[in-house]
Amino acid sequence: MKLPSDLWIGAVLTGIGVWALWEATGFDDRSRTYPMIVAGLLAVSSASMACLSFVRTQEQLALAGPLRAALPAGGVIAAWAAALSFGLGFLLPTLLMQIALLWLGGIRGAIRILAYAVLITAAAYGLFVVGLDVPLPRSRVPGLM
Amino acid sequence: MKKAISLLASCLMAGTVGAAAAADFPAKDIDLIVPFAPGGGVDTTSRIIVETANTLIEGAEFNVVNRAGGGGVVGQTFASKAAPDGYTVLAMTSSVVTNPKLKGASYSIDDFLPVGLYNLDPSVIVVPASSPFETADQFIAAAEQAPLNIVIAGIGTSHHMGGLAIQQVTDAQFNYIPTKGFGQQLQAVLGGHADGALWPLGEAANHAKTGSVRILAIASDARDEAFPDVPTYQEAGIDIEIWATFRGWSVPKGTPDDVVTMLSGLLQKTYESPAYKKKMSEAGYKPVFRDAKSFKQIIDGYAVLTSNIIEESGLAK
Amino acid sequence: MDVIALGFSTLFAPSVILVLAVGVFAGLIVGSIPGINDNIAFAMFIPFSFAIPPEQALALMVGVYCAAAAGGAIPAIMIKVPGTASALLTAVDGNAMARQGKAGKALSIAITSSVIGGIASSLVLLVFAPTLALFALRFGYVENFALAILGLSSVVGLLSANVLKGVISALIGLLTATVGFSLVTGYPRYTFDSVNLIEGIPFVPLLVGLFGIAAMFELLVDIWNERRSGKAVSGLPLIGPLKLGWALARRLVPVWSLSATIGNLIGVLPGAGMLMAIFLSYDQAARRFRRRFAGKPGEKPWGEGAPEGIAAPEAANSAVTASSMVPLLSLGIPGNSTSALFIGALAIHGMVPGPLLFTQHGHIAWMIIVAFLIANLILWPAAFIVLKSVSRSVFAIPKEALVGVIALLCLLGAYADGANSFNIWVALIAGIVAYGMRLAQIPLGPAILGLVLGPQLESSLSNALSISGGSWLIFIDPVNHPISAAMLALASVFWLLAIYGWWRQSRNRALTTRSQNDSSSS
Repeated sequence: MKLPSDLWIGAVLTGIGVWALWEATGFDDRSRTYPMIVAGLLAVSSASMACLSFVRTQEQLALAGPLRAALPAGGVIAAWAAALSFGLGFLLPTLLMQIALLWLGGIRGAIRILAYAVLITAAAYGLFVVGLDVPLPRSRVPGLM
Repeated sequence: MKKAISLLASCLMAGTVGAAAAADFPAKDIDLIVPFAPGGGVDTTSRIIVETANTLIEGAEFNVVNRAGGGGVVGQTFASKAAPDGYTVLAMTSSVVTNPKLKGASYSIDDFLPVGLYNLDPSVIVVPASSPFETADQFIAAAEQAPLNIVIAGIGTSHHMGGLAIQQVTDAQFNYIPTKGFGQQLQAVLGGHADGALWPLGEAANHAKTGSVRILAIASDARDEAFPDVPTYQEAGIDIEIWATFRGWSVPKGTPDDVVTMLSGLLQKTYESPAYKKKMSEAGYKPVFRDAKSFKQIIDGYAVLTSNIIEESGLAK
Repeated sequence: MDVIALGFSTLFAPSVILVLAVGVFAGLIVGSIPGINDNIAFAMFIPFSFAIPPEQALALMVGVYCAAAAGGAIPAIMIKVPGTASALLTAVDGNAMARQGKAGKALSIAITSSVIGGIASSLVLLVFAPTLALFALRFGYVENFALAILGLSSVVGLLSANVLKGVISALIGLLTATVGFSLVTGYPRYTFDSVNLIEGIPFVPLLVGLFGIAAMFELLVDIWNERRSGKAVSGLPLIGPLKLGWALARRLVPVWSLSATIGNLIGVLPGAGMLMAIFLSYDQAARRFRRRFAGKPGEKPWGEGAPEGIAAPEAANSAVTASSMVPLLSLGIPGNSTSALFIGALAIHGMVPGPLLFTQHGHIAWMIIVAFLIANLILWPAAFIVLKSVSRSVFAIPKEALVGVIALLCLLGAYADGANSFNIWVALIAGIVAYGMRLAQIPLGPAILGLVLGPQLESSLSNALSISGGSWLIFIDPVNHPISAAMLALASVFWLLAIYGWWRQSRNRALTTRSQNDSSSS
């Protein structure tokens, strides 16, 4: 799958710039000038980037890798963060996240994956919870840490 | 590992804790929530207290837990929602009173039960050593002629409201220069980039001792022993009795009375320790103690004072 | 002289010097773990510092502070994931060099540059502290605004590829920095009624996401591409011999001196910080490289393994360490957020930084000063020991497994800053945005600089104008604000040079195409 990235990224950023500019008009007098200028400049320069993409030829962007490797990884992390905030404890979600990331990273073999995942989870627990004394989010399921 | 086991144990016992009476309090470690990053005034004083307090209780100890974010609101909200069993104590500052109005915090001051107060920090008017103003009279007189540039920590901070209060009782005009971080404020004052500043006495004291800044007046009902020559606001003709930020302990609403009494007594015993007093004074914080009842009065008084200012100056969100 | 001897005698108590060495080793490790930095390490350490004498507590903190700035370069070079934000630029040329099989050389340049920058800054602290502190006091709101402009302008020279995208990147950073309660009036801007955003987007999680999580995505996609093309996944670069060589050292001397000078000046100024120092010195090194070495036989292009690209930021970030203590020790004004934590550590022991520290606790004040010098002397051998032992075994972990390790370290590091789950989301979203920018070939550097300097830019501008009564002329007033006028002039020189460069580039391109057209038509 290939896309002229400058065009759609320029369009997205223009949208963000225009939204921020519109939002800033609602701020009080002394707080709005600066964000309005920055947002306006962002909208204008992103729009020019989008327009220039018609004139300039540029290398096409390969999106297969990002879509098949980075996007699922982002999803895995988001699921982990959601589980942690919801209160499923630390150890179980982290172990599952590590298994998923290791698999995405290309490690194969159930035992190898599990061994690495347990090792990494334990090391992180040791470093942050035991070592740095970071209080973990409260678990709402009894017995789950 | 100790932590892991106690965590597991506390999870398993979760059902029975509510019924437990204060007789066996504390049965586990108590979290003292500091809603600011390590290294600041609240964090430092909390750690000094905990150091002594931990020698006074048996079977458990206090842990300082930093939950910084949102200018204190994140940690304060966390504490307001904690279980009211005495195992979560908030290092409470005057900002808890004003944050619901100024920063849209979801809790209200009534969600907390005061335990005790350990530090009162009056507001002071500070000018650089090179300033032409020698007395508060000269300072106010000049501010009545033309607005003076006054460094404050931020809009809606306690000392900003203290400045607005001065403007209410005198004809002085101030142009507030909000400057984040005490270091940057100190730089602006020492470098003479502003006419003066409104600071807590605790922060100003050490710099006044070296002579790099001058304290013109102190917003307290009595002169400070360390600065006997500095007049109070009322002596200097500014009709404000006290304008002080406070630091103390509070617990979530619903905490059993005997637990509050026990914590309050512990804070008092800590205060009575000479080593604690020495350490607090050396770190620049004047040790005092007020029990739950008089702490409540101070909080209520501050709420009345600030709500007037907030209404009249349109600071509310 | 007596007082310096007093400092040395305090420091050379066996327990104190031992703790300093422990601090250096700990700092190297802390710095080289992505997601953990010296700030987090200090937050963990301050509670313990109660129990030990102030000499030992402060010696340990000095050791960690010095070494963390150097340690950040190790993962930056090995896996292109900066261990600390200040190793951001080191990752570019450093990792390129490592991929060419010269990881040892890159690491050696980084460590040596750090030590040199650190020693230079310790000497500045030792000798010039009072003078420089007075210089720092001349920086008011007007000067801080000019400084922010100068800092932002330091990247224009690096934007040869696509100027527009660089500008867009800086604007993204500046706009993101406006989130939170407005300093001028306290109005909530882009906060979506979330209390977590009152003070702006939490900074530590944001940085961790921008360089840690984004780098994790990149690593993952690299592996995926390699696997798809049927090749075996290439391992991590081997560290190899750690030789620097005299010829290279001689060549780097001018870069080291300039970067250490920039680092020291920036370090002394409260509120500027390491990131600004690395960008300014990187830009200067790039200019020098293009003038002297670019295109010569045997030279890699800038950004693809030029030794100056490692030496400049590493010398600069280490030069910020001791110099950031100049305003703290002499006036009580912290130079940056890490040196601010020294205030907390001192307060716990009943001491307050500033002139009083020298009169009341002279032995501690002077011990801190000489400890910076000794820490940097210990740092050099310590770094090589860590590289030879710890790093060699850590980087023997398969690259595939590192993905999960980096992700977890960064996410937990973000969470640990305030123990707030919201921070995890900040780090994740920042990582996705930064990776998206990389795909769109929008450089990340200007955005980070915009993030760091944005609040200073806006607040110093509005405060300066508020004091001047709305007059813009104060910024270029050569009598009352000569420093501001000079910095703005320097910033415009950066812009003019860049514009001239772009103009010459496009003319050359036009000439080449024309001559190609001519030759093809004839």
